[in-house]
Amino acid sequence: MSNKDAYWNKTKNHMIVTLVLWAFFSLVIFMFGSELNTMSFLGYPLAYYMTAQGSLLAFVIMLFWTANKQEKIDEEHGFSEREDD
Amino acid sequence: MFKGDFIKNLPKIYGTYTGGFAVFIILMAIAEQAGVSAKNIGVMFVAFTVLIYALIGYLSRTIQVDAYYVAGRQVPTVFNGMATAADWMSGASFVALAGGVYFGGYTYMAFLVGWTGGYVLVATLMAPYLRKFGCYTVPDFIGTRYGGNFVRACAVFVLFIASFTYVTAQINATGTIASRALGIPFELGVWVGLISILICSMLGGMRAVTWTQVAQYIVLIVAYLLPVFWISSKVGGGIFPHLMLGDEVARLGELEQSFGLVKNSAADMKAAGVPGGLKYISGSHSGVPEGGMAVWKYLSLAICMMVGTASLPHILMRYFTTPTVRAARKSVAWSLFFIFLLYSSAPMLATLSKLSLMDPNLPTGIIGKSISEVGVTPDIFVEENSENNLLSSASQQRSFYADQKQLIVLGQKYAQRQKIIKQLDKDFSKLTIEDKTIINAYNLKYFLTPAKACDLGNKLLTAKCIDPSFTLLNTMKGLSLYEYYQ
Repeated sequence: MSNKDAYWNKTKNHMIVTLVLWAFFSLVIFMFGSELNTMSFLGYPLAYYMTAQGSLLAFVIMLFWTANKQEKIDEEHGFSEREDD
Repeated sequence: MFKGDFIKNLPKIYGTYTGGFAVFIILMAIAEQAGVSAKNIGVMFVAFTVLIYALIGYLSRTIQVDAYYVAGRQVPTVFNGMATAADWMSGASFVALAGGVYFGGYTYMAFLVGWTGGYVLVATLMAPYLRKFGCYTVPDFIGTRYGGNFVRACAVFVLFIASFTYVTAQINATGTIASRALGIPFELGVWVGLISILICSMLGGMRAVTWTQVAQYIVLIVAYLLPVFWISSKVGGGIFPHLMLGDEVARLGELEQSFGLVKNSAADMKAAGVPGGLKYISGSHSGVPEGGMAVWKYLSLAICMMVGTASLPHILMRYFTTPTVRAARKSVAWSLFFIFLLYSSAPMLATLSKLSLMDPNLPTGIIGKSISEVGVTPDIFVEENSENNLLSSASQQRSFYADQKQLIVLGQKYAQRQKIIKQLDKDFSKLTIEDKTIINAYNLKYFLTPAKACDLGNKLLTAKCIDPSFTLLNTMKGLSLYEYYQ
């Protein structure tokens, strides 16, 4: 497998992982809203907390993580642009 | 002070700007203490911001294609994040979000998830690829990537529809803000808003818009967060509401139950025929509605908002302006971080507002209290009715409604009012419950126009006290009819 293909494979897998996490925090947990709401976090009903802050925070963290990971993949395969900044 | 490269000096420049803004706020506070009217302060605020933005717009003037369309592709990630966040949070987020959560509770908060989750799609599927192709616009990208002018035309068409819908809402919000802040009619406010935008963006294109948006983000985040923290510490919600309001949210649920607000929802509402928007008053703040349909509604709303986020041209445009693909990715993350600061505060603001209305321990908490406790009693009650025996005798009622007649005559504009007056002439006992609630609403309008603690609470409470037979539902119905006939 050429370097380009390997790079694209890794990038693709990374993208899929991110999208799965995204689907979990934006869709899956809210399918069980009323069940989650019986639990509590910081005193908030859990489903309320997730829609008010939790999922939002998860997205923010996820994006920084994604960007860093993708940079590592770039560097590994010699597509880094670090010096262009 | 600012020697060397403009980009390198950005933190210094915006630091100075933030300091200047703080000084301006303090000056306005002093002016307010000195007795300058709220209207004039509003005018000064708008003038200050428009002048600053116009100045930035003028300083950023350019005739280079690269600078005009993509800000020279040299916007640092953090600043691009701020600019995107300011671009993103305008009418809907800044003006409507907290109010929406206040009315809709949990069901409305699909917007929060949708409007932030969309950025994950932007970061993984759009931004890096847009930047990689090095184009100037989104249709440019689509045309280059998939080839041919037909696809390019399709992209233009789609973006046109997306932008048009979006801009319609934005201009509406612009007009509302301008008319509130300046005390001018809405139609004029729209023009003032549009002219300000033109001044700020025409000469400098994307470069001007980027640097004004960074300035705007600083203003908007300060303007949003400061009241949230302030209110929170005032009503005893803790200094940092995001972490400390949990118990209050749970308590709101209990208060809703004890006031019978939630009980009146759904079926009761339908049976009583409470129209449209007002049904939300009795929606639960943090409770999740039961049933598959409710889940589907929530999820489909979130999905629409997420996909919509990833297709908005003014957001995608931002990722053309970064120096590299890597910077584009980082910059999406920063955008979402800056958006998160405001979005996580909106439900807190809604919670605090609801709390201040419902908490019996607060002076503003008036739901469920008697008129005398609240202390905003319209004079007519004090003069004509004993506190515990409102409108008990027929003669009291008759004289009360005669007063209403006077009031209605004063403000008569619509046929409905005429009808009520006619009926009043015959015999007030023949009035239907709807007519009575409308009268109540008029009464509220005239007595409580400069509403004190909380407009809505006063209305509900007062209307209820005018005639003990009015249930909450009837009162709400009357209010909505009143809004309708206004």
